Amino acid sequence: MNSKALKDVKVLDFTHYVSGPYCTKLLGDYGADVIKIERPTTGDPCRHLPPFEEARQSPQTGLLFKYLNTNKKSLEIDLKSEFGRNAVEQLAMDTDILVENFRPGVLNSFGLTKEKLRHLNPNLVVVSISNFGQTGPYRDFKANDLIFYALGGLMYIFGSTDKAPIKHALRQAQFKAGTNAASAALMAYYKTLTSGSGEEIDISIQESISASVRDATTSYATSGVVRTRQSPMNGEIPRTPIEVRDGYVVPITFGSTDWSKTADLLECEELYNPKFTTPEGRRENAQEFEELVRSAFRVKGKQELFYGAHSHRELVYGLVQDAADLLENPQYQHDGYFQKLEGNISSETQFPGRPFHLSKTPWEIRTSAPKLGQHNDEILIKKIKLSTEYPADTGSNDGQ
Amino acid sequence: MGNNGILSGIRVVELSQLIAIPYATKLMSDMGAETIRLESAKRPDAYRLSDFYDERLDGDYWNRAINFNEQNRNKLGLALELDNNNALDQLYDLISISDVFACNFTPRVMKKFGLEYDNLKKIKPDIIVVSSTGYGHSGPWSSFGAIGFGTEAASGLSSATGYEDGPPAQPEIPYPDYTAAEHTVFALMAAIIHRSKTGEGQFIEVSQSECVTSTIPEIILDYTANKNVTKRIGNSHPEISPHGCYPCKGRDKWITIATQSEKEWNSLVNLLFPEIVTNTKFDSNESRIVNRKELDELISIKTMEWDNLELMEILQGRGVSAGAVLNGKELLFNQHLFERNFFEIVPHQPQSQIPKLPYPGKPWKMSKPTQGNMKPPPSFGQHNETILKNYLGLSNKSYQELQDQGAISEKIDIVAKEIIVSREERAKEGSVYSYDPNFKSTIKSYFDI
Repeated sequence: MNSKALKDVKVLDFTHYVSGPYCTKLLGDYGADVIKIERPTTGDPCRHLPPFEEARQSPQTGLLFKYLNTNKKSLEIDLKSEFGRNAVEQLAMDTDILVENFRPGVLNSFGLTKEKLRHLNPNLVVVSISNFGQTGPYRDFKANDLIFYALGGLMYIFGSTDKAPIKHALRQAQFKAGTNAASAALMAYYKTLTSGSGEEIDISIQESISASVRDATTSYATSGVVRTRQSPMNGEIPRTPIEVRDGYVVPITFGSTDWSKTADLLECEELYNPKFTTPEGRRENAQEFEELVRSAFRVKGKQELFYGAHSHRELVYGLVQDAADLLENPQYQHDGYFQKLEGNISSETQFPGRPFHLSKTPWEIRTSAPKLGQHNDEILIKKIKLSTEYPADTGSNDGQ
Repeated sequence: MGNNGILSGIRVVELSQLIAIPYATKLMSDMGAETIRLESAKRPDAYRLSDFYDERLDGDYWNRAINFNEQNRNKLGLALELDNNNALDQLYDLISISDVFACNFTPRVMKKFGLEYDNLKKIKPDIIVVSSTGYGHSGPWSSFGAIGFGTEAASGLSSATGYEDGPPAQPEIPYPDYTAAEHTVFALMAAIIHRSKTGEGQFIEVSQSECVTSTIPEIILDYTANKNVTKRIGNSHPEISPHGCYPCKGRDKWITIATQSEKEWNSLVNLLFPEIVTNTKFDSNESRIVNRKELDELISIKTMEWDNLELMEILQGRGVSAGAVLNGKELLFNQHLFERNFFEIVPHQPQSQIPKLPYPGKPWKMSKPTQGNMKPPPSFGQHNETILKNYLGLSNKSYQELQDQGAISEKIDIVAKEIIVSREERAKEGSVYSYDPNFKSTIKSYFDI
């Protein structure tokens, strides 16, 4: 048994969907004990999100849920009931970190006000994740990842200037907020080890994006320039995926030395024409240059270009990989990155593994994602010592 | 810099460049850790060499480098040439009185200077060392240098991102560096907590590419379970329609709208074009997904009549998920962020002649405020003397010797790259959205600084 970095850290998890569950997954995967509170009958709505294993019968728990809820125990309980409230209050007394991602004000409506929690447990760290934070004019705005990219400032500098701005696929904003929430939770927890007083932490998903848009705001504040999206090539190779024979590479070059290395890598005679050897020349002949470069890339293979760039020419090219490529990738295989999990999951299905490696206290999946209410008895009877006659919740049918 | 924050008492030494480590240590410095940023005059951080305050290239231009300054506030600066053995010994001494050593150069560089964990733990048994690399600290791709555009491609994220039928797309920032840095902060905090309970240090390996892959489980799972390769669909959502970015009144103004329920759809359509409510092409989310393109075009015709911020307020007032696409200036002046004091007002070293400026703040707010109290980013070599003499007890004579050997310095002997195209011209040709020559007074009055 490995030792765990967050051994003995107790987490009470009121989260659902993505941002909060990724936060508590990080805590759990590095050793914390996580109790996930789920509402009766339906549980975390993420249980019902795709992808599913298409070859198996429905209903089944979604794979995204199974990824996000490893190393957690599920307590199915109704926070609107007095019984439920009493139970979580007892749990809160024996908790280090409470994480929630309800809409602002909802936790209060369950009677779990800041004052109440502070009274129950002065050392408690309370982490609240929400769309736009617990204060401010957008506090109650509705949103999903698309809206976070727009109002976070990342979308405007994403895409082509001759088209609408775009965003990353999937739910990146929510994962970022979940990661930041986990870091902030540990900072505040670390403080309680010495000074012994808890904190309330306010995480805004919008701000997780806005904190990490490099100089989008700073270029205005320092030089009056408002940056925009990708403009036409204009004589330089864009640092953006370019089509090759069997996919895409990202040709990354810095300055003239790198340009000659790229010409060399492409083995294209015409690119050595003196009119293309200087930045000014390439700019003057931009259109001709672009056509030549694109056709030179199109006849090359992606592996040949990527390995050719890195192995012999110290160019930091990128290789665009999809899931199929990643499963075969020698570095990911070396790291043993992808993981199969137990718990009613096909042996074909593989999950992303450790995001980073801690040598003495490694990432570890101790338990797969729980069924809804799987740990009711363990938590209610054994942990907080309720009588066995706690009211039966409405039947849990998770379809597992 | 010990601003009595949560992490005061923790000393971090970083041998770093660009963002992947500097942003992580910035977040920790903001919370009170004392971070010492190593630099080299021979191999300066690329961020010291481009993009300067007011585009001024004269004098010590490197102290006015905006991306360096953005990533390195609240840090101390030590400029030391590690290929000088005496200087390298000073670094070992510094590590012996530090808690964390953080590096985002390739493993080759760490090895060359004897900065691997196995060596450093002999100097400081409970040291925590983090190596953040593009693809991994060991293994077949570990020697490959990387910047964000490369790791983003490798991670799997780019393959699923982009306009429908177009190539993979990436934003105009090194995106994975931030994802990796955010995970690095978490990893360091976990290691610091473990050390505070057990006295044991350790080695942390961060692969920037794998960090991002950990945030795209849907793609990995749908492929391994079902052999489905996720396609690029722009701003569309596989299960929701309408879900997109639509043009508004004005130059390059846009609004995003995501109708996450039938109720939101009804509110949207009642505002924009009540006449199509009964059209069977759009009467359910399923039919709207089938007729997505036609619907998006109809919505675009309507949104073009609106100001994007006004339309956002009205739609949100009716319970519809909508957000204006904010450019950098609009983000900086956004009322919501302003009321939340999101931007931190950061001073600069007096000789740089840069006034206090607003920079993006922390991605969290603690109940006991840690806003304000920002210290300037270090000028190049600014704390050489403080660290070498006061922290490490170097004599005046030895300090002078290091100076004579060129192993410590306060300036960079590289001429700044000339700016070929002026801001005005760039705005005219469209490679930037706009240039405002009055930005200084605009900033000053808005933030009251």
